[in-house]
Amino acid sequence: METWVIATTIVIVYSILCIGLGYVAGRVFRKTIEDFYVLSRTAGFIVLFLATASTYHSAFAFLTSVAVFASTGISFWIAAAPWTVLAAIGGYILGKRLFLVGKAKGFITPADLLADYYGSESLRLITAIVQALFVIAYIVVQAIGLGIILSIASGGRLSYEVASLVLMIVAALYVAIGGLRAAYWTDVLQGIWMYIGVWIAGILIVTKFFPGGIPQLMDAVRQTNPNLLVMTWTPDKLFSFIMVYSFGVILLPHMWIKYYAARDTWTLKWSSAAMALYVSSFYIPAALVGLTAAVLNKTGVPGVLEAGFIQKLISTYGSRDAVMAYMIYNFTPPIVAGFLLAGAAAAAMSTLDSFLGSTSMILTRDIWQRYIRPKASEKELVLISRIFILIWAFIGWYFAVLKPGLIFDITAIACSGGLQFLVPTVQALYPTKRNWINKEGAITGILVGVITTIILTFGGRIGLPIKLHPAVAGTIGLALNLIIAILVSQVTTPLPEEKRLEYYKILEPAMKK
Amino acid sequence: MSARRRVLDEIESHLAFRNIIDLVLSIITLILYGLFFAVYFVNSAEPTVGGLSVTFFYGLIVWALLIIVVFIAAKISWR
Repeated sequence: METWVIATTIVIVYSILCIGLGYVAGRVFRKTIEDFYVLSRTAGFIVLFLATASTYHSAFAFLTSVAVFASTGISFWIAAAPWTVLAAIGGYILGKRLFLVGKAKGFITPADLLADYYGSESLRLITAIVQALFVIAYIVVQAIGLGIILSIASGGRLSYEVASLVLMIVAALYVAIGGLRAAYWTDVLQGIWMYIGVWIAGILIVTKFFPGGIPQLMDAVRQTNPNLLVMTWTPDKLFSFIMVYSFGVILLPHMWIKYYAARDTWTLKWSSAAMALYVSSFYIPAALVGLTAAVLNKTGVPGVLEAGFIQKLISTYGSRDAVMAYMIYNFTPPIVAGFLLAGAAAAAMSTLDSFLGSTSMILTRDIWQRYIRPKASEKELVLISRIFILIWAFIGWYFAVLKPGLIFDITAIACSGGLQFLVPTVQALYPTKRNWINKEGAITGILVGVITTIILTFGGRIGLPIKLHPAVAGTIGLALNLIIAILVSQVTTPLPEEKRLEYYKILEPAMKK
Repeated sequence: MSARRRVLDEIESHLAFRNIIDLVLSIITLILYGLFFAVYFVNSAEPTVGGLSVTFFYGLIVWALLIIVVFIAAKISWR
């Protein structure tokens, strides 16, 4: 049987499995919004750990990391190691407090917390809109990844556009059926599948071309392009990547709500520690595949692979993100290739499902329920959630078809938006005697941060003399956000003491031994 | 002093480090993050253990230490 038949069949079987899990999750669904979104706050260690880890890792981890290793080398590792571990540490230091406040006050969305703490419905609306819009970039990333994976699995018989649409429908379908409960369940399956997959891919691909293992690979890299073995990113980029891909990710709704879903603080603590190891070590095999691809791209393999194959992938898929899927399809046995490509699809879907679910959540709860149909029944809200899931999936697919560029860069846009919520969130979760940030400060800070990020990211496209990576733009936005938030707060009415005392009392368990 | 003022003072005291272990672990973590930025001082493609470049090997060692610190913190410091 031909490779494409086997690989495509396995990816399809995997998709059916996900839909099946979504259906079962839907059957045990309790028909309440709290159950639909945060599992009725009952996620135990295995579910929470694998859900947070696999949601954190997406097409970014499985596809673009290899592409960046292939073009930039181990600079990616020097930055990814600290940002992944910081995301896990942040998951504990912020996540535990989000859990305590969320449980005490019945919060489901990020806007619930910010609107309550700062006493502002305007802030709720701004939070919902900003997060829903920036999240689109992240959904686009997964749509790109899924298109690449299934297109390559089918040996090019399915176009990138159709392949992306098929798998986007699969993910949207199982989230719409089973809610985020389905996303949590499939995340467990996907989290295991993608981690095993990336290690198998790393070992098989490296040993196929370099029987001497890592020393031989490193020698080959040293001979073809030694720059791939040193740090080439500047310190400002290193700092920005660490900030944006850690706090920027965990403050987006797909990760934020995971902390609301935890059963208890013990679960959160150990899932954060386990996540640190999982998400960072994922990049070790990715580095090996990326460096192997870099060597093969330079030298070619007579009769097997032409030198410069990455350029051909760029012309087909709009970026070099297809390197990993291409290597897997061509250089591992067909059954293994199918398994590994399904693992790659798992990486993208495990993030996509959470994004679709959480975006529909903020649109339903923070906008529909608040401003359009305040008296809507739970049943109607669940229906509206499902419609939003399908709409956002389609929007993501539409932009992915335009082939907007490297997943690494597009992800940074979404995370830069998430990063702008760091300032008001930290103030809410770490009550201080002096009120540093109030309602006006939080709103102005977020708006200044977001506008700065957008201008610095897209300014070059409208003729401004600006050429910054979105992550650097987001970090500059955060700095201005902080300064403006503090300044505005000092000249406007402080937050009521009662609110700070209320949060302090809720958060006491996080502060006492 | 009013009860409310006492609670506000308490808030401030709780933001400080509760014990020496928390403080030491936090400082170690910060130092390890600083070491990632110190990579430019050892930035070389010269081979070391397993053929890895000095930079890559350095990055792996600092990462491994960071992971160890995270698990120690989870065990003895995180509540």
